[in-house]
Amino acid sequence: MSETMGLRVAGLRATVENTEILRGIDLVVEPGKIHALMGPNGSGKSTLALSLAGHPHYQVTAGSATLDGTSLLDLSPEKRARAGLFLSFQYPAAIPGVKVANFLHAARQAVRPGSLAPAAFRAMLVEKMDILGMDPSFMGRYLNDGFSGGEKKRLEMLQMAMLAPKYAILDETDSGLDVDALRAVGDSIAALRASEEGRQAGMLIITHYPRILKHVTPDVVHVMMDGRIVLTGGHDLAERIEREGYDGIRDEVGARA
Amino acid sequence: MPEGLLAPPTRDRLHAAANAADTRILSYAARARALDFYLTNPSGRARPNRRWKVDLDALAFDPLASDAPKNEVAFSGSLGRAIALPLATAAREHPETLAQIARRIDIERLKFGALALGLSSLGALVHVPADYDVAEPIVITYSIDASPAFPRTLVFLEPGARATIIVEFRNRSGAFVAGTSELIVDERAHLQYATTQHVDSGSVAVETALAQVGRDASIALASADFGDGLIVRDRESSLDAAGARMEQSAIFLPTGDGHLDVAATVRHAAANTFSQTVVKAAAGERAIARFLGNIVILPHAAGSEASLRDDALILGPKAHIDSVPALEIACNDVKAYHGATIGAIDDEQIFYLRSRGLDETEARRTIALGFFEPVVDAFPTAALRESLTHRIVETLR
Repeated sequence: MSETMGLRVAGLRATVENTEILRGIDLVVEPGKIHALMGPNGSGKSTLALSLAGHPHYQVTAGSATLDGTSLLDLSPEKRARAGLFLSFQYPAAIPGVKVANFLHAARQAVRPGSLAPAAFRAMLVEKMDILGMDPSFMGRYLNDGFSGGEKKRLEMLQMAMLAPKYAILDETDSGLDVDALRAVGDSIAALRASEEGRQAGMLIITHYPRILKHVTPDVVHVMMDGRIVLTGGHDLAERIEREGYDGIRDEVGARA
Repeated sequence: MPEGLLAPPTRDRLHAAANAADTRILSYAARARALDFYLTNPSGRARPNRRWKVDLDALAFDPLASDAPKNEVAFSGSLGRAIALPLATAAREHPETLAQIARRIDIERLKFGALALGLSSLGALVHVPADYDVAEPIVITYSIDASPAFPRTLVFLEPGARATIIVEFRNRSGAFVAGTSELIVDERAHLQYATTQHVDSGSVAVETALAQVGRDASIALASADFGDGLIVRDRESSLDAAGARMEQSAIFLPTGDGHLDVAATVRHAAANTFSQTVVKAAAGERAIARFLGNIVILPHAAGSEASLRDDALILGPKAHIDSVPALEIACNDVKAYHGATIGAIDDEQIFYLRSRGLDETEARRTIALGFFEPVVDAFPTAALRESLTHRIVETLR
């Protein structure tokens, strides 16, 4: 694998309203790999996700972030998406009057122009919705408008499946989901990775609780605290967090520092 | 203001114009009386201040150039047993129908209704006989080349009749047009009545509309107004008998220095009547939109239901939207709802769409189009809805 491949973050610092939240993040998500980013509330996980996606409220003050060699930080949010980055939002915005089907088509065209004929697009949509257990009536509804928490997250997963990004960041996609929805999210990730377009997709799954990791097995687990990645390990790290919570890790890291 | 005119017309000039107008439609005496009413009565919207640049009681135009033969009305759509005629022809062939409408719709009691009555030679009559369903929409197109013009649109649906009417204006640049819609929907009848108007800079469009809805009858009004001129609408619907229903939907999209001023009144005058008003207003640049929504529920209108929904989107830092709802309820056993929102496009919505590959302009356009979507849906015919969407997209470009 080339040195430039992957979603590569180095020394990334970011502030929100003049408060530094990210204090030097180093992370490499290789193509085809699943990374889990875990950590207690307020550790900066969502800030990392939104900074990488280019949210205007987050100022990157130092460091770099590249996607298969392309520097992301100089790009507008839409160009980051077109470069192959996808963010599944923790709190997706509602946009009344914009039908889900029309939006998905516009987004697919923007990210992968001319890649699907209308009939193929519809066939793909039906297939992906089936995997996610979504009713066809979803297509005529307005984007996230009046959606339940679970419906919003399923729609985020549907978008990920339809846009087939090179790298996807899932920001607490599992929070607030019941067991069935959690399984659907897991199935959706598996289906994307089994598809032609998504076989090489790298993923960064941000989560507070390890339970989603029962449905998706990560290759690497990171623990984030106070704006830094403090521990990196294998799947067993997630199991340890489930047993001990974050306090044990905090003690260990604190003792080491 | 139309070119070359700075002052409102004098009484002498108005009466001279009434004398020159088509007296087959209305006698000189009746015209003169209407014009005197116009001169002596306020529009109710003449509180000029810095924001409301236009004093509606002092609009300037040259009445002696009124209703030149260059102005035309045309009809399309298959009528079957219905009648659709220019007003002058209708006055000759169906005087009893015009008289019947005049007895029931008192357009003269509203300032600009009186003005149109006093000066109009141009107009249209649509008459649908009892229990007849005009399957195809009737499209009335006014081509206004000579200014000013005072087109009157008269619609009479007999009991059980059904029709869809679309009124379109093709006004020349800078025209002053003050027209009326005079609508009778008798018991069990259903009328869908849609108007679209684009008024460019320096042009004025005024509409006075009165609708009378009978027992178990229904009317669906839809209007879409665009442009950077002045548009004034004064609409009043009377739900006169039990079971009468009214739904109205409006799109306001003034741009540039455009100024839109709409008053819509619904009178619930009988038991178990229903009304629903949905307004979507967006103003760009330095445009101003004002919506006055009045719901009046009279004492004997028990069991009635009225709702008023008004959403406004500010698209430019100097744009201004005022929404003034008023509920006047004189009966206990009714349901009335009112809801309004006003704001700019949310940054989080824009970021969400950008994160899906849409650029900022496209994101803003998508959000604004979505804002209007539910009201576009209320317009008849797919072709009209498509052209409205296209016009909204063009306006937002």
